[in-house]
Amino acid sequence: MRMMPKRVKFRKSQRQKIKGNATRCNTVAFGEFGLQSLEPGWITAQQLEAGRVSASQYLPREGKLTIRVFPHKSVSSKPIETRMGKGKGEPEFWVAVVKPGTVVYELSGINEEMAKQTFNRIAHKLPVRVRLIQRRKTI
Amino acid sequence: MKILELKTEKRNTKRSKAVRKLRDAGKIPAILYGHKQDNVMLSLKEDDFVHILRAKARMVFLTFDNKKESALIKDVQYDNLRDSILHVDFSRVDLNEKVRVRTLIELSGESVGVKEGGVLTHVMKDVEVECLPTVIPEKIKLNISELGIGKSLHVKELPLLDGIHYVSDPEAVVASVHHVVEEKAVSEEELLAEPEVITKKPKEGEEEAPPETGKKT
Repeated sequence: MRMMPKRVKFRKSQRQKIKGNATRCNTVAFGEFGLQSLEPGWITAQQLEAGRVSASQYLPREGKLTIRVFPHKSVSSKPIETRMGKGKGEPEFWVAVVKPGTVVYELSGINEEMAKQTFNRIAHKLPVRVRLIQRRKTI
Repeated sequence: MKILELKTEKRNTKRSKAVRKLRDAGKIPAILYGHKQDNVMLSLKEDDFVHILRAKARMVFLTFDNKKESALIKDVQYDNLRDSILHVDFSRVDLNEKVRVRTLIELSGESVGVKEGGVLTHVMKDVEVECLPTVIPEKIKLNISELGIGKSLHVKELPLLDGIHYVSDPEAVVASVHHVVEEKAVSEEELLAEPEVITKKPKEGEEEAPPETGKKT
């Protein structure tokens, strides 16, 4: 499954700076375990998909994986051996902007050891440092 | 339910700089409110509070200025990146008045549906209950051994406990078992598809798409 928006207002976007820590999407909401980003960065749709596939190949049937981020931002590039100018390049791929603290994936229905192993596989596909976190107890 | 004692101190400063100093010293800022009395700003040792959380206590006896007040741990704010506690809210509670709290639901047993090849989904992880502060349950156990494929358990099917009333919607689903959904193969066309641009102006000769009203006929 290729992740990208169905409808957009503008095809191309400016790069923008990634400032500060995540203030939303920073807790485990759907599962029991989460994979939290420790660095700011862009995670491409392809990397997210690679993570999902590696998890689905390893997880038992009961395990459920949730992807908490979505690649909303398009990244454009110019064709090789092209002179500068003549406008902005065409969108090449889509990325999810991730801040430190963002929960990227969540897992439910499995034990901690299994979650650790699964997230370890996913972490190898991601361009940012991540850590495993657990759902907080209800207060 | 255990009610532990927690030593606290009154604090007068609420500026961020002062609060930061407090946290650096291993303390947590807290507030006590409720019962139409004045709010009291407190500070407490982080280690003491972590001990309370580990003991799974929901009620505490707060001691400050030679006073002792029973309070419910209403909210705990965390620094989600460093896992430290930022702030705690306490609500004044009379031990004879009913309180509303959220309690964990724990599923027990192996369901029939899972044995037949279904997948169990634990939809509601905690439920809101109304009870006396002294009988707040640590968790509510729900037996799912008779849950078949395509069936679900609701809040109304949770075990009835003495002095505990479920506040959450009785029809809300707690857990369900369903068939495994196979993934669809992605076609070449879908892979090459581009997103639709909403603000795109129509070229000459093309008709402008009618604006969406949001209502389907």
